[in-house]
Amino acid sequence: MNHQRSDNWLQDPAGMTAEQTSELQTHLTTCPECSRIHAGWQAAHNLIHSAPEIKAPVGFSARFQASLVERRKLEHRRQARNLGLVLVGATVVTSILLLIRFFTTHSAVDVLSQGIQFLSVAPQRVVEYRYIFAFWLGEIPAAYLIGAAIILLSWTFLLLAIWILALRRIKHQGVTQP
Amino acid sequence: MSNSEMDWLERAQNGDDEAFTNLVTTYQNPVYNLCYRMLGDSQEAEDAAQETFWRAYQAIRRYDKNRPFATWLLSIAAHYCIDQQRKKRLPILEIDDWMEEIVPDDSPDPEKSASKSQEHEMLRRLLKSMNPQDRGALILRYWYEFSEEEISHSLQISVSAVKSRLFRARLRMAELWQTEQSSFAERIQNESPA
Repeated sequence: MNHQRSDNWLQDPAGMTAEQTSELQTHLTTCPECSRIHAGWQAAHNLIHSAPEIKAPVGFSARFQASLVERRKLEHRRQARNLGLVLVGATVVTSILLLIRFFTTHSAVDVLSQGIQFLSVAPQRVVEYRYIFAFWLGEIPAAYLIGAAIILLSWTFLLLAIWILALRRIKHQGVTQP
Repeated sequence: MSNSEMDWLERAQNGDDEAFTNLVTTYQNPVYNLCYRMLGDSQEAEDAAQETFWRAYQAIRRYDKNRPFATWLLSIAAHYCIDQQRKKRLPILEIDDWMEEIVPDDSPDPEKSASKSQEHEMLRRLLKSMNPQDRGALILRYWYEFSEEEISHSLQISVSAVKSRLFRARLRMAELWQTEQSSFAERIQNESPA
């Protein structure tokens, strides 16, 4: 028999058969190194078993309960900040990507000349568009215009309210895990 | 797990803070004990145990009821303590100090007290000599009687890695125990009058 049995025992001290244990005992009487390790682990194991459970300090759960409100508030603030950072980050990344795409498909000279061209014809275009707009406004009955304005404003307010309420909810209650 | 604990758990999962506090009261000792064994300092252990319960509170809705609650909670504590030790690379500190505080000295015999203190110092050194993951595996196995599968699940390592960590930890403890014993015998011999 070699040291293998001793190693097997140390790998799984409780998993040996009676025959294996007997072989191990025989080996231990002839091998001082394995005997030393065996005795060392037995002693350490006994020490672990004799070590008592450490009790939590008095008032532990009361301290937890007291800290819960503050921790929750901090967590909700953190979530709101993270959401804000994600939104700002996404906007910045999208803008950068759009700018990169724009400048890879258009040369700087083209952009400049188109800009100058646009500025030079802009006053004339404004007059034209104002004329078209005024013409169509005059053609549409006033009741329709008022109705359209109400619908448009209602939706705008509704979306704004949802957005503000969602941000307030995240700030005060955090993101609830499903 | 008792019926009242099941009820607290269910209520805690529905957002009842009082029910969760009842769970904290029930499990504070095992969680604190684990943190103490891992970190070796009362203040750090309390902070770690509080953090464990806070993490459990945040994740309670995701808790799988098929798994024992204590196992789940102790996994969170073990993970947190291992992470803390990795971050700070702190050694186990003065376990003998707290041992003196918490172990009731029911024997007036100074010789017996000295022997106990020596044993606790030994335990401190044995645990200190291990890396946090080996120490975590050993504590879960021998203080909490986790199976290898449970340790594997708790520490998110394979069962063979758990076996190898436990083997390494036992070997290290056995060798160190013998070394400590030899050096102690030598000290006694040197201190005794010629």
